[in-house]
Amino acid sequence: MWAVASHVLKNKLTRKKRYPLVLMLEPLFRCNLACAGCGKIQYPGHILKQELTPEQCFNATDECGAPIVSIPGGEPLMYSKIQEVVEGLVARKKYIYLCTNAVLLKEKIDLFKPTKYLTFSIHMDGLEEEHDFAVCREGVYKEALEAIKLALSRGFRVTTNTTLFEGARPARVREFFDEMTALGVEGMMVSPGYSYSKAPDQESFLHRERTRGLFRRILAAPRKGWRFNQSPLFLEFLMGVEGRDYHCTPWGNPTYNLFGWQKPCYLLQEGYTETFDELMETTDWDQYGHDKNEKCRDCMVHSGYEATAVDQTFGSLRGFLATVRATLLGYRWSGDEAIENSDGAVDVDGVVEPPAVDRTEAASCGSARTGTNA
Amino acid sequence: MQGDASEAESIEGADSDEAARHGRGFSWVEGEPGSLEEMVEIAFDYRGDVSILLRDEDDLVGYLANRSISQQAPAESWIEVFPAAGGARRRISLAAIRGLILSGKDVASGKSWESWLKKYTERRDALARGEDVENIDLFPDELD
Repeated sequence: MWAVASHVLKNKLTRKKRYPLVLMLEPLFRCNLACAGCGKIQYPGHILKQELTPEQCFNATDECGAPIVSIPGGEPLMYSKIQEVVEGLVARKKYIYLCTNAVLLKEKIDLFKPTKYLTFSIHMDGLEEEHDFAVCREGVYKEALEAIKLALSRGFRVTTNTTLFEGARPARVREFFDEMTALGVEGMMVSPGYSYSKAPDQESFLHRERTRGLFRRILAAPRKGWRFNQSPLFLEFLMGVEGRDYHCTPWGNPTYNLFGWQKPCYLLQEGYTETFDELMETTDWDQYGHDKNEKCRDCMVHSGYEATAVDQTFGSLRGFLATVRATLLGYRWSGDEAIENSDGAVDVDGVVEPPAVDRTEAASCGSARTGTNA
Repeated sequence: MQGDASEAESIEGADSDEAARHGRGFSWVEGEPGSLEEMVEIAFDYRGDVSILLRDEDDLVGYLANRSISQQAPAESWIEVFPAAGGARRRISLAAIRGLILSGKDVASGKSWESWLKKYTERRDALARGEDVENIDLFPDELD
């Protein structure tokens, strides 16, 4: 928290308009899962075999300057230099979120030492049925659960990272949060999947409103003990709380991978630059945002909006107080009273019931897809 | 521009991306309708290797990972390719290119969410009927 706060304040004092908070460092695209529709792993074999060198990882980290480095992929535990890179980032006092499906964690855990700088962020898309369905393989939930227990027992910091889609069942998600809380994870992260459609007859308002409805039904009456490892203002944004109609901050989570610095964000792949400065200077940022670009119109993903929430926290006294209030007292639902119903979900007026499973153009690891043909 | 219409048209329920309309075998060679710049954009979206037909050297096969198209200064336009045969990435001026072919397998083909959902639903229904069913777990392709 302090590292992020001081980074933001330093940039604000120097009147820097755009600065990153989290570097998304993708050292490889290869993965040991084959989640349907994932856009991060659909490359020819000779690309999947390639990896960034540790020097490339460190140069990108130094160039970017973000206090947090998230290492997704691909599956970072398949990266041959993961130990060296983690140690190098710890030496740089970077806070690392190693985003893993945990299938290899038991085998690789001895490569790492517990430190406040390293957190295993375990990909969990719900309870067993939902998670195994999302990752297209039975048994992965149980493996991940065992890995979480092992990592916690070894003294590692562990969080979970959950992507929700239309069709998610609020009561089951709440039950999942209970289960993760009971396990003792330090915090949970949750985000809607990136979902857009180019179908002309689909109104973006409805899509965003459905996302808000889903999150209201999940979050509006939080159970005791739930801890989220993300900005409470972002959670309020997801629920559609008044005053939280944020605009995206695409430069907040810049992405570096084999191809270079990805333009403009973690989700869209519109090109690459050689240097971080080139990314910041040559990207036409005004082209992007849910109200400006068809590709962005339904996006409410944390990689775009959490940075906005953090900026609001440190950008004004009002934002800061709102964050303090939400941290101490819980996030706010300013609509009608939220009541947990007998199904375990939350009844709130005005919520659009999510439809049955519909994940067109969605990607569970948070990646946009292009050319994923049936 | 020419392509394998049968493959492109066989994509039921696919998204409407350019890549879905331009399947394996789709090509552009100078003298044909369309432009190299348009073909570069199609190749950039394609999830497979492309063959680059070069003017003064042997054709190159690789993954087109990046491009820069300058309308103001066409001579400065380029593509960046990771050769399938290995070696460092190459930056190639558009001026050196006489054609492009989507020659490699579209590795995203058949891996859509809709396709998985259909398999999953069919298996679940078969289980409910008490039928024997095959495992449908998905695994990554073997690397060459």
